[in-house]
Amino acid sequence: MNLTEAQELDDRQLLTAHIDGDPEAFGEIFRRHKDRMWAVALRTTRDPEMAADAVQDAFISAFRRAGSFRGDSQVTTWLHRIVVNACLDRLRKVKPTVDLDDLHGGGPVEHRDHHRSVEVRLDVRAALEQLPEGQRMALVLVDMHGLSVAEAAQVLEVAEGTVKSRCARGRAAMLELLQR
Amino acid sequence: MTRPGDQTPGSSAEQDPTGIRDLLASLPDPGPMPDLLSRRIADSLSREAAQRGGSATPGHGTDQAPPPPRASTPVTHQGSVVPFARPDRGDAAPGRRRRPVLPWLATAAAVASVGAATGLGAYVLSEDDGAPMAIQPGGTEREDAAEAPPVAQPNPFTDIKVWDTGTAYDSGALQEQAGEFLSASTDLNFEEVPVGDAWQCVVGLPDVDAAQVDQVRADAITLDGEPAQLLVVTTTDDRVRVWAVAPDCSGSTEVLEGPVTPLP
Repeated sequence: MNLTEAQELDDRQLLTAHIDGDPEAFGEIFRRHKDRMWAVALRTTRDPEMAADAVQDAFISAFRRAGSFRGDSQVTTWLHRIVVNACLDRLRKVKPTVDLDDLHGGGPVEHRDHHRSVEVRLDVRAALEQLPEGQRMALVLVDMHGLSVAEAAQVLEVAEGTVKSRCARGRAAMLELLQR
Repeated sequence: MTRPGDQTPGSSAEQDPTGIRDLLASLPDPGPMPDLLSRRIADSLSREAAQRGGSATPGHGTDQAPPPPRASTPVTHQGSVVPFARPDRGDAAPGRRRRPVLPWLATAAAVASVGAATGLGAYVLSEDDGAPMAIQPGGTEREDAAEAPPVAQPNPFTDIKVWDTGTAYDSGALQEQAGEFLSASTDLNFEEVPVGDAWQCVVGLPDVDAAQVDQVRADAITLDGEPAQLLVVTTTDDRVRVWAVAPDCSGSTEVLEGPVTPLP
């Protein structure tokens, strides 16, 4: 398959071609989705270097794991999941998250005293950073990247209802933080 | 894939009385992936493609588990290694010594360029006859890889970063200075230095199992006035050790000082 032919295929066809050994197919997938995956990684990690490492690992993982794609979601959703997981793995290595319970539908936003004591008006990004991981990821994917609730649920591997509630709680928490 | 604001009425997006959704959607897009990072990933994928040799990935349509993150045998390095903060690929700064690039790295770089320009299925072309060979030193030998030099490769997930600060070290103060280097390293600008050189030095260190190396921080320094390379190696048991070695490890790693544990 040459580059022109690759560009005419949809993502699923490209992934199938890659699995079947086509050397050009994954390159086209990378070209199509690299900017979006970079944005997701950057917004997830808030650290360009970490985002770069994560998105690189993610694409390599996707290259290798293509055979595990079962086709029950869009390729781009599958890529999102790999990128997000790569980012979260790195974030958890840097500092273990204190809000892992939220991944299972846990409690409200965690109020951190040391942040509370800072008497500056938080900007939106800073407020977003204060959210528990689950809420933050739901808002990043749904509100910032425009994924549907169903897509975000697939990426985060949780129920749609969980994504909805995390979005609602996260927005409410952000509003509170921004109004301080 | 939808964009913010595209979702149907009644969805959670339409039920946001806080206005936060609109606020988040209005944040500027981070922009496209930086070219240097794009090339770096394309390079890695090219090597993956070369290593795969164009053969089909097994397990199509199955729930095949991803490969384990750590292989017992070093494989072609694909992981998070090359800093990309330095956009130029020019010569080193005046007065800075440029360490020799290993032949296979030069070849890999050439292939990477091909891969980035034409797709990811590029093979390495040998300098002799143009026949494809694998960049797979240290791994399973392939027939067409017979002439590849046996250079051990870092684990795909080994985190390697290389600096070229030229800092003057004293052999008697290696612990303290290495500690300072580690503390400051996140703020240092990266130099465009081949990672393979540092890794070549690491695999030659005594009492270091390359398969257990988790992180490498390397810096081109001087030790007591002589060119040297600082290696800070963290293994999977969280042990951190520091060596100063001779800068050229293409034959073997000559330890000048260490190992010592960096002072916090």
